[in-house]
Amino acid sequence: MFGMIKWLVVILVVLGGGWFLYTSGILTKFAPAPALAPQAVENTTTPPPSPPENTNGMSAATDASDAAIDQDTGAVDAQLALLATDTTNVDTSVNDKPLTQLY
Amino acid sequence: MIKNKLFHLATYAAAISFLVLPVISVAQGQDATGQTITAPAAAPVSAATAKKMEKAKERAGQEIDRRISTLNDLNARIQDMQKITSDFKKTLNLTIQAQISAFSALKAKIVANTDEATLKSDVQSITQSYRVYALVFQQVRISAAADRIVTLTTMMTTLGSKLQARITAAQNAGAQVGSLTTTLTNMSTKLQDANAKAQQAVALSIALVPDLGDKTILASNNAALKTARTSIHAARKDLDAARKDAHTIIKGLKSLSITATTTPTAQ
Repeated sequence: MFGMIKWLVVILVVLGGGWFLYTSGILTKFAPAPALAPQAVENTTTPPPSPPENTNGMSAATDASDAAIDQDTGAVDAQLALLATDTTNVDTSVNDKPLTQLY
Repeated sequence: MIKNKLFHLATYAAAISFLVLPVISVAQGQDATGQTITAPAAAPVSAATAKKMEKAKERAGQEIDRRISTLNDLNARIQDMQKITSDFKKTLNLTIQAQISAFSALKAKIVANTDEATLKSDVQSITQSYRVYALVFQQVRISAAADRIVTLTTMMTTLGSKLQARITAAQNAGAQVGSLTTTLTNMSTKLQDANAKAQQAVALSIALVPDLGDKTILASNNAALKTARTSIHAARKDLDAARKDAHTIIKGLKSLSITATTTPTAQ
């Protein structure tokens, strides 16, 4: 019987300590940073919240009318123009040269 | 539907931190190895030395300004990226702002410097940190282009679904749609390849570490970055081809003059 009481006390101390840590906010100081790498995503059962969807000027996904398709192609063309800038920036970064210093 | 993966951009935060270490150390009165420098008493300098120091300060200031401008551009581009979370953007923003602050502090220190030996050490820290800066610069540019490519493949996949619905409607109405279907298949193949190339480019560049003067690592980095850039260019060509396919399909559908009565099914 005393052995059982001893285990009961241990359990109560552990639970009490855990409650204290939780309510004091200490645990939040050691909370891991939000997972961003794919492997962290794969190891969890609940997917992290995804960034709010950016439509980039696209029409509704279920609208296949002529007007919607025209809107979508316009949105695609705008992004393709921006991609041209991104690609140029990639090439420019290769040719970057520092200013020669005197020392 | 093409599945989009998050990029390993958490690693960029660590990579960008390489920029912070040598510059901040110098700004706090330490050399690039972290040893505290005790500034010697400023000895009177000759006119020639003073002139040289002024020129060195001017050149150093120009390089620092150049890097700060690039960091601001990179930061703006990162904030526009769509495949990373807002929290991570904030992290990168803070890291880049810290780097900019460190550069600004170094510039102020250089300008105020009256001792040539200290000035020389500060200026040399700029040169020493260049290889790290150059690598991160290219890594972020490649990642930004890849982010745009993946965004485009998502958009064009949605467009492709709508075109599929329209082709199906035309077929049900009795039109001959064989060539349109073939073109749509080509479009899909191009989009998948573009996506794969974008992922490849990021995978190649993000694994790289600064060469820190090691010529073997430098050569290896240059080869990997060249391949990554080639992948970006190839992905862009795929997207241009896919866009032309979409134009061909739309033109073909208009010639059939059949209005869509169905909506694309979710994929």
